[in-house]
Amino acid sequence: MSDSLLGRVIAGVATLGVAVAGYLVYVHYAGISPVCTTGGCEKVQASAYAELLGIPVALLGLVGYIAILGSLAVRGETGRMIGAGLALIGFGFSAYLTYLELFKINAICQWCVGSAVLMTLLLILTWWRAIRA
Amino acid sequence: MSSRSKQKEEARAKREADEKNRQHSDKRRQRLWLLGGTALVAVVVVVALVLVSSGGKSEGGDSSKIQGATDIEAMLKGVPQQGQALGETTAPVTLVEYADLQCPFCKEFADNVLPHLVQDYVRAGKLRIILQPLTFIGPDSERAARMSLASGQQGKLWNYSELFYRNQGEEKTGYADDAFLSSIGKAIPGLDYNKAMASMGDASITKALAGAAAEAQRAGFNSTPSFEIGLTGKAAKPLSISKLEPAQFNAEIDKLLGGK
Repeated sequence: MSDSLLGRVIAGVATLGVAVAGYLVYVHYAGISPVCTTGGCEKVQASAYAELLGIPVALLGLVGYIAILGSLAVRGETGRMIGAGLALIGFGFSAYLTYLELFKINAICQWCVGSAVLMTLLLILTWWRAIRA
Repeated sequence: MSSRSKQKEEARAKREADEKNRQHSDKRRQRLWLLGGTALVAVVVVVALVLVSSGGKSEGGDSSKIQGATDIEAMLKGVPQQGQALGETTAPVTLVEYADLQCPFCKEFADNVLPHLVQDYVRAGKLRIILQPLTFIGPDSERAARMSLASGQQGKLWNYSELFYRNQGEEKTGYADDAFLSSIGKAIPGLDYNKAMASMGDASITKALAGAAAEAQRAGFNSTPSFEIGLTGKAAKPLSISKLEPAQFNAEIDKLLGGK
């Protein structure tokens, strides 16, 4: 896979991430319940862990996905390193949030799981891009 | 080409190839260092995020920092209580709340909805609220529920449960020990908390807990908080709430009051 094609795949996955996190940010500020098939979205969104220093974690996720998209615009090694670093931060924090859902909040939010899957994909793709360059 | 110049040419090509390999290997090493540094920075950021996220949740569940006693006292002052019930016995509408004192959503109801209901309906003699304490989350739930019901023997169940919610700790962490339960009790004016602590194991309290569980099962409730509402003395029906906000409760109460 060429570097530019890999970049486009990363852009596609990050755009999906923007859509998921953007929806959760919208739901948060609109004060409505997210569409939910797992039954735990509202509980997760309303939990004490849904905000970090008063900032919704969904908003942090949105900023993260946009930053990963932005890193694709930075040429060369620097852009690849920024993308890999951001994806690792996103993956690490998503893993922590998934742990909270399973063991602390005792509820699963499909949107959060979706975002965690997207971050995992981004971790693999950005690191692959950075290592093989 | 003479053999000597051929040897020179080969040596130069070898030198160039070695140089290229060296550069390639330097670049690779440099990239690996960069990736290592990036990973290190990322890990530090994640650890910081996790510490900030979990650090803020240590509030509550601390017997040395009981908060909100004055607010709760002001909210409930002068409102009659009989056992598990809050409000006048003659109130035309009765709301039954099934709650687990460890449950964060029950705390949300206590913090965001109950004060409005008390102010707008209970004080006006229009609404009576009955607490049915459930204990499905864990041992802390049962200890808290027992202490609440024991406070109810002194007409202070709602003071106890509301102050408990204000100081609620993290689920299933064992925070509701004797020190915590008695600290909550100590902060409630007029409650003999030693007497309440001594009554936690009473057979009447065990019976009340079993009764609450049986009522929840009859109503088909499997999460908290759950509610039933109806005209006092008549059969109550489950109240479906999509969001824990006063407007949703007001609408149903007004409907029942209007229909009288």
